[in-house]
Amino acid sequence: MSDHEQEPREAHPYKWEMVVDLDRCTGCEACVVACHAENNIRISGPEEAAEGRAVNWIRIERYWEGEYPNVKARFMPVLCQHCGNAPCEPVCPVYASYHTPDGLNAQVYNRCIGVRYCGNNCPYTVRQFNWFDPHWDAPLQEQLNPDVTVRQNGIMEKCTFCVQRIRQGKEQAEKEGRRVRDGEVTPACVQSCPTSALVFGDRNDPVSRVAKLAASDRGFHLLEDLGTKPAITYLKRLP
Amino acid sequence: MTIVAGSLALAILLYVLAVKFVPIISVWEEKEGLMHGGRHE
Amino acid sequence: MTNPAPADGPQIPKINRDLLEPLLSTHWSYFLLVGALAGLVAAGAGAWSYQFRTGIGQTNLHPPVFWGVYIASFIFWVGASHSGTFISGVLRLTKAEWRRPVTRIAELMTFISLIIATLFVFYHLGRVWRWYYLIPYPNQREIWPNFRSPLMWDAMAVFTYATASTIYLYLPLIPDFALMRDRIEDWRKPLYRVLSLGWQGTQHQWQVLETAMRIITPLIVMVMVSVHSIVGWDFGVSLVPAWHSTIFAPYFVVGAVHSGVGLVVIGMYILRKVYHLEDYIGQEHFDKMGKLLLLTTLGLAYLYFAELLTIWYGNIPDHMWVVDSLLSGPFAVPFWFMVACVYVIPLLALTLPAFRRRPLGVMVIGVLINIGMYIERVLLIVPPLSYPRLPFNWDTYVPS
Repeated sequence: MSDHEQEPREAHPYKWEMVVDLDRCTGCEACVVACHAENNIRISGPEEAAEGRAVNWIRIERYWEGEYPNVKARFMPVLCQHCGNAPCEPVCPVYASYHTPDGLNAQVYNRCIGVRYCGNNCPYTVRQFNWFDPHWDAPLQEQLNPDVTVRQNGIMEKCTFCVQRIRQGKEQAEKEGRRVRDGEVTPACVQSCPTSALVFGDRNDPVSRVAKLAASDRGFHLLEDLGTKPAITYLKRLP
Repeated sequence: MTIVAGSLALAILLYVLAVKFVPIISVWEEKEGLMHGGRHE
Repeated sequence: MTNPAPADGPQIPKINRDLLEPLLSTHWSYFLLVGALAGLVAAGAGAWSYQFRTGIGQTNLHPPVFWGVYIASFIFWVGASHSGTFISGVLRLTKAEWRRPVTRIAELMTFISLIIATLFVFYHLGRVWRWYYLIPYPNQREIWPNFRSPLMWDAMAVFTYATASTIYLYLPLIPDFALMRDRIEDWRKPLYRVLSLGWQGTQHQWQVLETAMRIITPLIVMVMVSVHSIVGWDFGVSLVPAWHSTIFAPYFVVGAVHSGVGLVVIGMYILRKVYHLEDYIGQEHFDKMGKLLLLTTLGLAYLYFAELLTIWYGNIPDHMWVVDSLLSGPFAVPFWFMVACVYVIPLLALTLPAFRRRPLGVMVIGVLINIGMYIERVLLIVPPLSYPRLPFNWDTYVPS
């Protein structure tokens, strides 16, 4: 852990947030694929998917609007909301789910013993469990990301906002004695989004794109009445 | 399901074994009951 | 034999003879039963080792239902453990005379149920080989368990309850151990010698024992109430629609007593039949137990109704999805079966004084209540989890 007390960064912490512009999302699922590749997410075959065990850290929820034939598909990407007041955190008996000083909702794989309370208590159902040991059909195991842990049977996992990239960006910035620049760190889903529906950055930086967009009057939070203070702001679809 | 059934069996098994080690009705409490005017049929 | 009871009359030798009889003679069918049960236990152990090697996925659980039959069984068995404490603790406190032949049966159930309940925690864990992370032991990384987690409260509550109820089972056993030490001349004698702690039955020893019992009895009744309240709070403090409710703690406690008393009735009936204890466990005991069951039936029905009425009238969609699924949706069949087993049939049958005096009848009600309460525990867990707040993720689960 690099977050020791003596580091001056505590004075000006980062607050990693994301904006999802529903008006721009086409439901192409490029983010889902990119996330799988970046984060060593297990490959779920058709059987596992049929059992409802397909693991996705980000998913595109599809809702139908209107009556046939005037029916429209609405897409909503849902990933871990990195809540400021996360329901998954206090219920974990072993501190596997905890809050980083950067506002990330971290999952410590080594610590998790798999009681799965966090999965129940997450109103967004974004937490995924490893019901079996993961496997990758050859040659897919060749493309595993060396920066990301492969999760074993019996533990919880979920979106990390690509914490490995954040760490890299922060270390680079620290070496050069500056803060991370806006757009320097992008999670895989944001990077791959062809319509730039996803925007990521430091909310504590008032001139970052994410800070400006999140202040838009189209902004809302998913299930915000629960008081979870999500770090993801959705922008309402334009009529 | 097998685990659940096995556990139920374990509970019964432990109970059945316990019956061979402790009197299933507290002997002294029964005798004490006699003192209090034992009302056994 | 040392005992403060007056040694007059022929009853004392008869009590000794009758009550020690099960320990001294063993029918061949006993070994058959033990063998059959051991076989089932072995099958269960095999299934567990298979799950251990391959993964929790063998349980058929899948998102959004992360908890299933193991947690339901845990609740059920912790509930079953309330039998002993309620019957023997509360009745000892109120000095109810008729408790005498029932206490030991019930206390033994408490003790064993808690062992089984604890096992279910281990079945449930995803990485059970790391279970010791739950223990606050000093370690290099200075990580402690999270005492804010209801599961941590739960672990501590069950551990406290298990310790207390072991003591509570043991204390009144001491004079009986001494009796057996004096009466039984086989390989068990040394065991009883150790367990009887040098009990001689002196006036002083009796006083110490009675003081100890007077201290632990009220304590264990309080622990009993708190332990299932905490199990209830595992659900009550969560955000899950239809779990997030203040009624869960009292509801769990009353439900636990309901199934616990039912279990004691089953135990009483079988033991009475097998060991011919009709002189000790009479119709009046079944009558009294029937009245207790009637009380818990009414109490539980009241709480259940209060819970459903509030959700139904409040009509908050997230919560109503769950209630609809129970009343008329995919869970309707087990739900109404449960209502019949737990509330309707016991209420109709046990209000009849003539029925309560029939041991077989009361026993059957006990069985129904326990089947019903088990279903109820499953229904408490699965439907709320099946309808998360974002409807995209709705899915259900059938145990494997």
